[in-house]
Formats: sequence, structure tokens, C-alpha cells
Amino acid sequence: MNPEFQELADDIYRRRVLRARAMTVGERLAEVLELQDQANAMMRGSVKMQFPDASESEVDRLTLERKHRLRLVSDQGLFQNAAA
Amino acid sequence: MNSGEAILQVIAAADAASIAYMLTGSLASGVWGIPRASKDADLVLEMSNRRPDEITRHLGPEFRLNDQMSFETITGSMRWILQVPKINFDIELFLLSTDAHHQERFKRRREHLHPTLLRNVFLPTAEDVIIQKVRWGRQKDRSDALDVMSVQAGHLDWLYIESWCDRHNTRALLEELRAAVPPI
Repeated sequence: MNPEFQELADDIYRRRVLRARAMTVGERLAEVLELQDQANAMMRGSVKMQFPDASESEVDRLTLERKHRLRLVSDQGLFQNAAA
Repeated sequence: MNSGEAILQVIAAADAASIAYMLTGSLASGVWGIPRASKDADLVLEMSNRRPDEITRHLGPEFRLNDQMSFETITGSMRWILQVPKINFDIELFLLSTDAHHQERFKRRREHLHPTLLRNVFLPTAEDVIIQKVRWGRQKDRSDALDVMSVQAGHLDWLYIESWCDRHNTRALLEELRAAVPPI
């Protein structure tokens, strides 16, 4: 990485660590859940944008399919289907 | 419903079935490290029955259990996926395995108050999160472990972490990550 960018990246990380340290366990837990909801809503929103004519139930199905594919990637080498 | 409320309903179902539980995965690492978004939540359940029906029978129709069970290849932990399609959210249900560290991690779990859900939830200790993340060792696990080490610097029981990483043959990765912790 460009040394200038490395300095910036280090500074951003330092701020994130200090912010996390200033929070209570409960506050961090609440923030994780809030971020989860935001990420899930964004994924569903991106499916709607890609398939503007899809019904709400179709968007639900497509979003679940997308999540399933992401899980397969994340599971690779660590989880195995019991039926395999 | 949001993801927190969905988790609460599953925890309430575990309580109703008298099943002890613990939240793990990225949720636990976010609690001890830097909060980040994740696609799901992980719940470890201590139950003798090898299927999570005891939990799901206490849940409403908005929850859907995927019948396909999978297992984690390092410890053999069995996993089911509980979907909440309306909010695009999954909860991974793990059965507490017989693995020595999993047993110890579960024994050491502690209750913490969630300020907006207004109830206590069980979480593993920061040390146990690091041990598990180093053991799995995927890129995101390494990053999570580094975050926990950075945020909890000066508050970790390193002897405990080292002893488990020695048993798991993951000490080299632990030391690699530990050396990368910035002096903050």
C-alpha cells in the first residue's frame, strides 16, 4: 500500500478501536444488530433495483437465494452438507 | 420485526424449552471487538435432542427451519439454518458439540444486558471468541480476532488463549495476529 494511504488506514483503524473501547458491551451489541438490519435491507434493496418488476414475495425469494450463495462461499472448506 | 427481535424470540423459545444457549459468531466478535454488519446470527444450544424441533415448535410461522443439516469439519458441530424471510435474516443454530474447547467456552459464557432489547443475553468471553476465530482462520475470522485483540488490549487472559491455541495447533496464527495489533 502507498505509505500515505497506509498512514490514513492506520488512523482510521485507530479511531474505530478507540470508539469501540468507549462503548459498553451492550452498546456494541445493539450496534451489531442495527448494522445487521441495515445490511439486510441494503441487500433486499439491491435485489429490488435489479428486478424492478418482481413482486415482494419474488424479491424475498431472490434475496434468500443470494444469501444462500454467499453462505456457500463462506462455508467452503469449513462446513459440509450432512447429505453430501 | 428486526434482527434483534428475531433473536429475542429464538432465545425466548430456548428459555421455554429449558435449553441453555449462547450467541456466538460475528455477533460475539462485534461485541468484544469492532461492531460490523453480518448476514446472520449464530446461536449455540445445549440440547440432548439432535434436532432443533424443541426450539422451533415455540416459534411463529415467520420462522422457517431449513431441514438441511450441515456440520463444521473441525469439530463436527451440527448446524441448522433458521430463516426469517420477511426481514431477510438467518439464525444459524449450532448444537453444543463435545469438543473440549466448545464445552469450556460454553461453561465460561456470561450474561450481558442488551440496552434496547431490555434483557440479558449469554455471550462467550473475549478470549474464547479469539480462540474460536483463530481456529477457523478464514480471512474474516482473522480480521475479527485482530479487532478483538485491538479493542481488548490489556484486558485479555493470554495464558488461557495460548494454552488452547497450543492444543489446536493454531499458535503460529495467533502470534501472527498478535504481532499485528497496533499500539493503541
